[in-house]
Amino acid sequence: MADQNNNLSNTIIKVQNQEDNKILQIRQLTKRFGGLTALNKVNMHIRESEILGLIGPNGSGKTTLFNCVTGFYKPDGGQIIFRGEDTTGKRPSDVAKLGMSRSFQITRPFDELTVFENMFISQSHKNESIVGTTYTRFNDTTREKADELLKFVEIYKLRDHKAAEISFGQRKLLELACTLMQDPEMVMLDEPTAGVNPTLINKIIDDIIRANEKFGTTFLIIEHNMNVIMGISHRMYVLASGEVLREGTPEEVRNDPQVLEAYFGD
Amino acid sequence: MDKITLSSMLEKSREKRISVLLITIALLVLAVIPFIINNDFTLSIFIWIFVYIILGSAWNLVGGYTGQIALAHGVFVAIGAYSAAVLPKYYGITPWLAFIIAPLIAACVGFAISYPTLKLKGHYFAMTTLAFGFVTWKVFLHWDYINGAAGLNIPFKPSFSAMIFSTPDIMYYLSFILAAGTIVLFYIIDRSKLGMYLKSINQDEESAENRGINVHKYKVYAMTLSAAITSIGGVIFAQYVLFVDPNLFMEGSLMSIRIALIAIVGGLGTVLGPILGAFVMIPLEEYTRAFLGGLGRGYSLFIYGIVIIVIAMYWPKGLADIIYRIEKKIKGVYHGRSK
Repeated sequence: MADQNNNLSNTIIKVQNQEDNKILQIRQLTKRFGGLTALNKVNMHIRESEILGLIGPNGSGKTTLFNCVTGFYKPDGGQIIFRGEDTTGKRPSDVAKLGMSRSFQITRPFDELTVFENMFISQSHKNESIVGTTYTRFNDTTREKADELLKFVEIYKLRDHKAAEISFGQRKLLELACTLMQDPEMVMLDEPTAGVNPTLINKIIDDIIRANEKFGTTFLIIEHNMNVIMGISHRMYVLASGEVLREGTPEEVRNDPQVLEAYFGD
Repeated sequence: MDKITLSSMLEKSREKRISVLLITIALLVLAVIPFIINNDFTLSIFIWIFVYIILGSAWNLVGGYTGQIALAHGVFVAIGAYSAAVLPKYYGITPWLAFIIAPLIAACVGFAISYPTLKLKGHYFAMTTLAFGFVTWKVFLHWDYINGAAGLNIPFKPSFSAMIFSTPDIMYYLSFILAAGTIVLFYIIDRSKLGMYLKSINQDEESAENRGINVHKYKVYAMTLSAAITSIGGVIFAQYVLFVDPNLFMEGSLMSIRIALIAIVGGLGTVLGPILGAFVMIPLEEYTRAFLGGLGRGYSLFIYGIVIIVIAMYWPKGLADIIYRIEKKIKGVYHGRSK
């Protein structure tokens, strides 16, 4: 009885927190490359368990934003707060350990390793001592988890193939499985459906929604395919020339004349 | 196909049994060699092979697994050798202690030079380590404490505590055991998380970093570990030659390059590579020098060079690749039958 009450109150607290529990906050983020301002005082936030879409014309700063948030670029100004911690200027591996995982626009699995080994490497590296890795091997829990996720994205039968041997679409699915392998709180996907055939696109969308519902994972997705992104996002941001043009539900964004102009010109 | 059936398990254990059998035969043959061969020159070649298995394996961790071409390993050999020479000479301490002290010093030096230089990528790391090797060579040449360019003699007074033996077969077994230990260590590392992380760093640093692997930390760790193990080879070197001078280890970075070549010719990033590399390159070098050396200094190096070119042309992945290809073919026969 007491347990049930506890659970109930926990759920209530969780729901309340979800309202203002921002897993990621980006404040006044600025990034310049020489004379070019790729990001200009961008403000953005993502709530827990949200699927957030990020769209914008080519060169609007979407991937630069990803690189700043994950730590690959050092921002020239502003602040990034992930799960209550200031991660501005931190190493990508440190940001990853906090529970952020990211896929690349062009997939980057380790070609010489097998699909299974790729999954192993992508496990969470939290609390891992560097000397300990010298003599420890991957345990059964990791093994089972890798198998489970490979089944989840339906490439289990390829587990012992080298990543170089599998097809482009399968690499996309492997990349998605790898990002989920890290026990992420938040997953950032850079064009997960680019160059993928329609059947597989549906599968990827399906996997994202299932992961979001099953594990409560937060997603931040860059996508050019409007049908895809409008379909799965709870909320969206539109970037143009390094600035936030619009924020809102897919419905609001779709009907915004400014967004249409940015995308299709006058 | 993914299910483990009884027959697949039998096949696996048969493969395992074959490799266990091969390793046992190799160990037995190597163990009785001093009883069969009374020729000191041949025995010395084996000792050098064992020493270079240690050195090549250690280098392989950085150059092969991690893909960072380090060209200063002669310095770590020198640290080992000088520790073994200096301890008894200046402090009256048994050189056995060098097996502990030398790796500690080498690890500190390895850490100190790799921490800043491993922030550099590709050729720049190779160049800075090469420069470090040259600078250390010059420092050793003018360092009074270790008798500079004249080097240090270790007096030949055979005793166990001095780690000097009247016959070469004890040295043979000592280096054999240490080489075997090194191989076991790298067999463990090859299958550990570390081995896989280093391989991933070699393939795509950014992707590894993205997956939560602190690339710089792991590279520095690999270099530190590699330096420590390399110095153990140096201790054997000094106790066998009974003489150390800076040119032996660091002149023109020749030794650093030889160590790297053994791993490269044998097969980068494999446990087997440096073993095969040492077994091919060391006898080749020693015999060409012994038989052709009289014709003039260049001839032995000429042959040595030709062999490297041939191997690079026909087996660019190294000699270990030949073994793996044969292994694959044998496996293919098994799997072909089960299908």
